[in-house]
Amino acid sequence: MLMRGKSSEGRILIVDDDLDICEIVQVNLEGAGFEVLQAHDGQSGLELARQERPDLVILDVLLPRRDGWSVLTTMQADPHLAHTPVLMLTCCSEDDDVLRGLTAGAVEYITKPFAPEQIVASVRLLLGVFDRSARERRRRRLIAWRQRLARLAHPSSA
Amino acid sequence: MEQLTPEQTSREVASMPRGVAVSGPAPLPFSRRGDRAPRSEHEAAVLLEIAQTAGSTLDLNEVLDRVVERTASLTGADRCSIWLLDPSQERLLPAALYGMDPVFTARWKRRPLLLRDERLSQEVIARGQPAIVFDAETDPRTDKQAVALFRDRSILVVPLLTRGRVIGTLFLNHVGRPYSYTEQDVAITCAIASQAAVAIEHAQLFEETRRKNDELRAAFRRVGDALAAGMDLSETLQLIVDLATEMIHGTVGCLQLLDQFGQLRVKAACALTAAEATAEIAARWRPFSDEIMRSSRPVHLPDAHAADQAPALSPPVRYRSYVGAPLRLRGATIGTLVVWHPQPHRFSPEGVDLLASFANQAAVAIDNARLFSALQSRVTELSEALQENASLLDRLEREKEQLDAIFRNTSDAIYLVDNTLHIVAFNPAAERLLGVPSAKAIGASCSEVFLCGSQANGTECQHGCPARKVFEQRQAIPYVESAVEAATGRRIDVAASYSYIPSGPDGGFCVAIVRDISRFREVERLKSDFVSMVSHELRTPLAVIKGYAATLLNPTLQLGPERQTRYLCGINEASDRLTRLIDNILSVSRLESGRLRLNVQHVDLTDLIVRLVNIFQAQAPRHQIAFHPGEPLWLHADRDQVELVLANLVSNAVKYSPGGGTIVVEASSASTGVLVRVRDEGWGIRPDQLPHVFEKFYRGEAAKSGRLPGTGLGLYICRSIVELHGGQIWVESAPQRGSTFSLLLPWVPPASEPASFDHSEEPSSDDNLTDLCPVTDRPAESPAEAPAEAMEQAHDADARQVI
Repeated sequence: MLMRGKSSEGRILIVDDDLDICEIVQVNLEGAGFEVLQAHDGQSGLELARQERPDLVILDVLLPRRDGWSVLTTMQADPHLAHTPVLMLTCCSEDDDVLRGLTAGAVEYITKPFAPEQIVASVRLLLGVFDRSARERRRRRLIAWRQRLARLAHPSSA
Repeated sequence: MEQLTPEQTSREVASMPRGVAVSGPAPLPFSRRGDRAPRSEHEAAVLLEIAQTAGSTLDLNEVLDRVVERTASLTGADRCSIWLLDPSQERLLPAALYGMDPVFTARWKRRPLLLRDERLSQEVIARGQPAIVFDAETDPRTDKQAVALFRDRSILVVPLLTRGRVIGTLFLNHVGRPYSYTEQDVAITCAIASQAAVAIEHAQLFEETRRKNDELRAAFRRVGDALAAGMDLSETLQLIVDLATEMIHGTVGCLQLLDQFGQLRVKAACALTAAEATAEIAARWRPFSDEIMRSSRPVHLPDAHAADQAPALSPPVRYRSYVGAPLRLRGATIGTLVVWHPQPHRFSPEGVDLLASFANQAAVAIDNARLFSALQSRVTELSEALQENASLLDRLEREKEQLDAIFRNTSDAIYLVDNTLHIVAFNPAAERLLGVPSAKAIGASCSEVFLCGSQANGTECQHGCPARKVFEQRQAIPYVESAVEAATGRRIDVAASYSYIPSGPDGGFCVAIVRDISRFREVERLKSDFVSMVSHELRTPLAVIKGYAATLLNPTLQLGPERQTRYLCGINEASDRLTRLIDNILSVSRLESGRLRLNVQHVDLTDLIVRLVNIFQAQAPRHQIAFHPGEPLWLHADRDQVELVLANLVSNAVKYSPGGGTIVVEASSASTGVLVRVRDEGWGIRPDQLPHVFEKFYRGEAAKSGRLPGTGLGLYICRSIVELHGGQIWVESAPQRGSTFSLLLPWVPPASEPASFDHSEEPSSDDNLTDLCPVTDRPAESPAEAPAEAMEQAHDADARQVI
């Protein structure tokens, strides 16, 4: 876990075991004025979140020690962290995975490979423009949209 | 009483007195002598005796001998004889002789006398009256030669009369001097003669009956023999008509039977063809046949020309004698038996009786022959049917054997349940699938074997018993993919078809053919896992490349040169990972399709390892990768493939020791080739996972849980490539104590044969999941064990197209 720089825009925690990804996200968010914390496995990510109360968490799924799903559900169950917006950033691109993340409480789901500007834009949107209820509405809309997509893709399983 | 003169007595002629018959009612020349009266008591006794003899014995000779003897003694005659007319009425046969020289007796028996030579006999027979010759020497009716020879003087001849017919004569001869026959003599002799006639007739009747019986018996014996010899009906009929004709001395005969329309048809004929017989009957005799049929009695026509005969017979008629008898069977008349003779009066009443009796018996014989014929044809039919059945049975047996062989040897589980859902048949594949012996399954309710009530989700039984559905709807369920839970508790993915076999009014069976598709499901799962794995594996380095490149291109970021270099290095490494991944996938693809050919060349292994170590060391700052190069190790191998193997091993060593540590690579010469070891200090491998690490798609628990990326292909590729080189690869490991992968590459790979896998080798039919992911049963403590067989085990045709 690392702490780098200060900014008035907000504090972001990225949890990813791929150091290159952490670097890319940090450089770009810092360039946009955010403060970035890093954790490289699920367990330390959760601990850092509790300890530092970041404004937003960027979370990978495949993580050593504790996977992203577990971190997400634990955060949702924790009253201190339940309202911290979580942005999933992962290789898991299946419809099931996306829905799973959104229904578990994530407000954004971005799959790798990604454009760093997209991360920056999303974080700005989620922290600067949307309040909590807007984020929640956005999350529900995303769920409904994804479900519709899933139904279109697999009519039989609906 | 008139006395006969001695002159009237003729000398006795050998047998037959020849003389002039007493004509008309002329009185006989009786001598009436009162002194004969005292004899009457004796006469009565003799008569009684003769009557008794005649009544008590049927031996004609004995009777007649007694008669002639007693008559002679009673009348005081020197000789007494009895002569009988033969059936032709032309000859006289000596029946009994008393007081005659035996020489003559024998002669007469050989040579009967002709009636025409015997005037006395002619007269007696013609008139039916006695004749007396007082003196044979003078009487004109006698043969003087014979009289001289036998010295006859007086002769009394009386007829043998019975029922108004003269059947012969009785002679009394007195020798020497003439004797006057009294009225009493004549009366007693006549009485004796009638007794004798009765006895003779009785005896003749008896003889006749016996002869008839014998003939009939002989005829029936022949018919019976014919039947026993298996003669058919037409042969039997022919025999009957032949016998009947012969028996009553006819010349032609025929036998008619009623056909199914109630018409008489000629079935056999004697001395005629059936057509001739039919024509003959149609021309003249139809009314008589009809009469026989109507009355069920014989019809006898002594002379067809006789005026009182015949409804419609006008001369000339070819056959004048006709006799026909009904063939009666069980109260019905089934036909007629007819015999003809061209001359009239050829059939006696006895002959008619004989034919009638024979006809009755013949009817039985015909019936027997018919039955026999029917029986025989039935037997023939039956034996043919039996033969047919036997061959059918044979065929059925063979078909059953084939079906049984299919039932027993198919790899699909087949079982039958009856409409109470009890299992009635259970094949060996079903035993294997469900782990239940058929002895236990048969008779059991199918719910006991399949655990219908189990809570296992998605099992077919839970969705509703398919067998019950089949019985309810009386139609098959052609294909359903589902799962069953065996009594063993194992959940098995299956594809099943259920068919209805109707049998009986309320029954029938449901036959289920169940195929274990666990391995296909597993393959599908592996394919799907592989696709998402590859997707993930591709995305990760791509995300780095894309991310760094986008960052470098972002003009708003103020990146120093040191960072720019680091980002470019990151892009480079990620590209390497991507390349390695693609190489792995391509290798698997080539391995699977048999297109991987070793490009064998001289390889300096030491140099190759040094290069690899440097690359990985740069990407793994937390690890110490150690290699101490010694002398160059040259061998023949495919450089790119060997590099891929070593890169995979080192990459694994890094990946599975995330906490860092030392990774040692060693290479040395061995007697058969080069031995390379890669040792790490990482997580190690659990003993239960150890046998599977070289299997395709196999990933350890940690990797599977999602905490570590990977395709599950690396070690599979390593083993395949090493084995293609004729080498071996093995692993020693313990949890938390690191792993050591060793590989032995021969100096020269086996012959220049293009490396390929045998694609025809499909997994055996009864394999299951463990066969799908072959167990390389290689204990950690015996690393040198040859893994040769693993190559083909590793081969899995079903997953091939995934790559």
